[in-house]
Amino acid sequence: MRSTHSISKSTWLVLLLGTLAAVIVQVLVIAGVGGESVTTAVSDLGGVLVIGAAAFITIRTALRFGKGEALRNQWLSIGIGIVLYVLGDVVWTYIEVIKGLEPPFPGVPDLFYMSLYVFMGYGIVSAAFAYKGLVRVRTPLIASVVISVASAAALYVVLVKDILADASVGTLEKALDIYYPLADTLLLLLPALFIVFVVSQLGRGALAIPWRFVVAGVSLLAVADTVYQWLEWQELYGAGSIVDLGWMLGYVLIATGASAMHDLIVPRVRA
Amino acid sequence: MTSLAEMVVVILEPYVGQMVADTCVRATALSLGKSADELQGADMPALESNVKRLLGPIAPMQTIEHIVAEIEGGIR
Repeated sequence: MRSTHSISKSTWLVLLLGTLAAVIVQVLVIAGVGGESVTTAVSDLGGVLVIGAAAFITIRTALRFGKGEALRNQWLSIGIGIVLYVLGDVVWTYIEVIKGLEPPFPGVPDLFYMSLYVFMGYGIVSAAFAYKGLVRVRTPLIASVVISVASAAALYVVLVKDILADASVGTLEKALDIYYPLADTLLLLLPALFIVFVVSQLGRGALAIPWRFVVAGVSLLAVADTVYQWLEWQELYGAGSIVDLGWMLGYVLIATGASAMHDLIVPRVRA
Repeated sequence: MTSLAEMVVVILEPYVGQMVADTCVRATALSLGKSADELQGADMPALESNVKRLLGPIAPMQTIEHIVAEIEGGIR
């Protein structure tokens, strides 16, 4: 074989350092070092730094591709999705750490969190459709739609139905309580399943590797979001929640996928 | 001696896996009214163009250029 496309050291480093940073933030928050205000600052700023780094790595990969390349748009879209999440977190941090207030739900950060789904979903779906000429895409699409719709229905029965029936929950909050699980299943889980079914047809082909990391990350985000919805409804969510670790690791995995895609760019041989 | 088809499959396999590499070569052969084993050096332009078209949306351009260069190098 002329070239083996194993994952590079720098990609493993992205995964290792990202995971380590996320765990350190989580441990510091749980340990409560420096009291409540410091813990809150560490939790919020730690998330911004870890996920901000993930956004940087993803955008950097996107910009390595030429302007006409499909991969540039796919990864740029995913990167913009992560940037929107970071912006939401920055606003959240400003409200909680600088102003010392409880971030409202729904609030300004939700505008950013809500819009990220469109960009991430588009990036992953367009990447899956790019395989149209090479592998079957119709069956994977149908399978992912069926599983995602079933998951959305299950989430409605298990979580959303009870929140909607709760008279103490405001109308706007209820609207977001419907939006987030729906967006998680239809704009994150569906694209993730779609691309994982598509690239599974590549077997051990190296082009499948980046997307496997992305799917792992997106799945983790969808689970973290669902747990957050439940915790928020029960008024149990606070700094140091395991959900925060889930979000950070989810984005670290997506950045690892971006780095693995970067590994696939064969350097030009100088003449 | 390895045929052109086999050589191209070997070059594509690390990127897209055995099955898809095989499909890529057979699709080119079919478009030329041939079987994969009948592909020859003269079919290189069609083969290259098909590789570029199919991999274009999913692989980095530099990598595709590298693959095409490897295929060209293989038939020399």
